[in-house]
Amino acid sequence: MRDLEFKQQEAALARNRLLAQTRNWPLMAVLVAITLLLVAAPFALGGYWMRVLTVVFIFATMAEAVNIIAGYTGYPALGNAVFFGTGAYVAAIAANELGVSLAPAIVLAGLGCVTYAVVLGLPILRLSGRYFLMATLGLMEITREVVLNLDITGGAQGQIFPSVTSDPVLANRLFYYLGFGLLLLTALATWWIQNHNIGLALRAIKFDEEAARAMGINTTVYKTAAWAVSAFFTGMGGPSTGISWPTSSQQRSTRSRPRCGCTSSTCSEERARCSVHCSAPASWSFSPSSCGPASQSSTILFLVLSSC
Amino acid sequence: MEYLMQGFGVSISFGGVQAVKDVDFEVRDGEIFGIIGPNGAGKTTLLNGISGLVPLSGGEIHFRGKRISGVKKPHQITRLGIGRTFQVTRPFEGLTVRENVAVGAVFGRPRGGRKADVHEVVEAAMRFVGNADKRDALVPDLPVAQRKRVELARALAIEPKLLLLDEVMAGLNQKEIEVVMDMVRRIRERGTTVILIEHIMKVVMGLCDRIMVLNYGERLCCDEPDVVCRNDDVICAYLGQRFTQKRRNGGATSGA
Ligand SMILES: Nc1ncnc2c1ncn2[C@@H]1O[C@H](COP(=O)(O)OP(=O)(O)OP(=O)(O)O)[C@@H](O)[C@H]1O
Ligand SMILES: [Mg+2]
Repeated sequence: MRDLEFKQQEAALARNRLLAQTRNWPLMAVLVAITLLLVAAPFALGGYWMRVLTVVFIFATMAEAVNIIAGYTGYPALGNAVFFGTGAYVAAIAANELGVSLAPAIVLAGLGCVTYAVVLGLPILRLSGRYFLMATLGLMEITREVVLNLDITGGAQGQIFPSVTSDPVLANRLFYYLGFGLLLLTALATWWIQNHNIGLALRAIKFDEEAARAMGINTTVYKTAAWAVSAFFTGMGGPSTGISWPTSSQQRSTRSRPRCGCTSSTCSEERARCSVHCSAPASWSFSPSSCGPASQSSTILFLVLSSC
Repeated sequence: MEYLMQGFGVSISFGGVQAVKDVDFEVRDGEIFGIIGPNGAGKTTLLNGISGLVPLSGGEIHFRGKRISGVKKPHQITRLGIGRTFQVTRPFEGLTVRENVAVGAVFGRPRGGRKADVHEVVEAAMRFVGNADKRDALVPDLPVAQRKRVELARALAIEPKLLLLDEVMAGLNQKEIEVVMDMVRRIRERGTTVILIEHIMKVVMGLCDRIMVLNYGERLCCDEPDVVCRNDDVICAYLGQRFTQKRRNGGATSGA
């Protein structure tokens, strides 16, 4: 890309901006304080609040990710949740079939979603406005239908992600920091995009795609890249939530009966609204205590995407 | 003679409407080439065909001896050095003036050209059109004349070899027109060839080296301004008797 020259000059601007921001030190101080508090929080908070924060992090990550395509680029990707589920499945299948461990599985999930976004983005991103919006919804429904009927995904039963750790406290912390890290990473990526050529191109595309083309912007490349980046972070959020979630359900389910209900969360961001049904507990009915601690410690991943 | 741009039997249709019919044209290096014609004659459409925004349904357009129509995408055509403005201004509404111009400087310039000077190019373009003091203004806050200047600066920032101007002076007052006319002259002096669409005859006659007249998508004639003015077909289709009489009497000539 032609980022080189602009980078240097924007770097100078960014330095000025940073300088301006350091002058705004009360705000900076508050931000740093909040970050430090969040880093330290797991040592003070109980399991429940840590889970709440973890979920907050993941959904904030997804909102940031949607913002890249829907906000900056102006493509209302209503069905971005498709990457959330796809990511979860990619990670689980990688772990089960290839024996990949957690961290690379999450990265694989992100990359898998990038591939998915590029392959589908090339045709779908030719649409715009409401037509693009409907296509993303369709994509989500189609993917769900395919996932439910494939063998490799485990069909309607979903996937069981191999145990990461048998210590619930450790697991909670792990996923807390995973979520927090993802959020920081996405925020950083967004900041970078905002301050570089790519951000300029995306915003130009948002306001007038044809004029952007006439100004020398390869709009196909840039909007596909925007969707791919969006998919990357959403895709990494999928397994981070999907794997961690049942850990808590599991803790709860030792007291209470398996629940068939699902935990549904909604994140709405600008025009885009992605809704994810993350239902794990149904599987508990076939993981009775007789299977022993080994299976108890395995976490269950069962993600069903739906447009609510 | 080597032409900067040549069109061979260019046709463009929208469904049943044939907006441009079998038009041949050639633009010489360094000239100001005018395109005039009644409303709906296909002037803007021809420009869109040149910049690749609409596909040709027939014919070919060559730039510097190489075919561009059908083989180059719009952004590639821009990077060859063909900049443009839009008749109905289309600046990026949510971007500041500086950012608008930067889009051209960053993405529109030919690859492998000078690189480390985006800011200089942007500043120079804004200074040239005289809106450097508005650099941080958002486009929706600007009046029409200023919006046109943003578009002009944005097109200049790509450092074009050929600049396509679609009615940049429409809607401006007399004084502003003089200013923009002067800009166009200076653009040409810098070595940029200009294709100019305009309805204001005073501008067309005053600026253009050669003029092509379109009518219902067809080329009526293409010649020097004085010759074009005396062409009966052109008078009948576009200029009208009144204009020619005025011109003969040496009176003010404007509008069509
Ligand atoms: N996108 C389009 N779809 C269908 N028809 C179109 C389209 N664009 C232009 N036309 C038609 O093509 C013809 C030529 O239009 P064009 O805008 O090129 O005229 P023009 O010479 O620029 O006129 P004006 O002086 O009013 O700007 C018109 O009949 C117009 O209705
Ligand atoms: Mg027009």
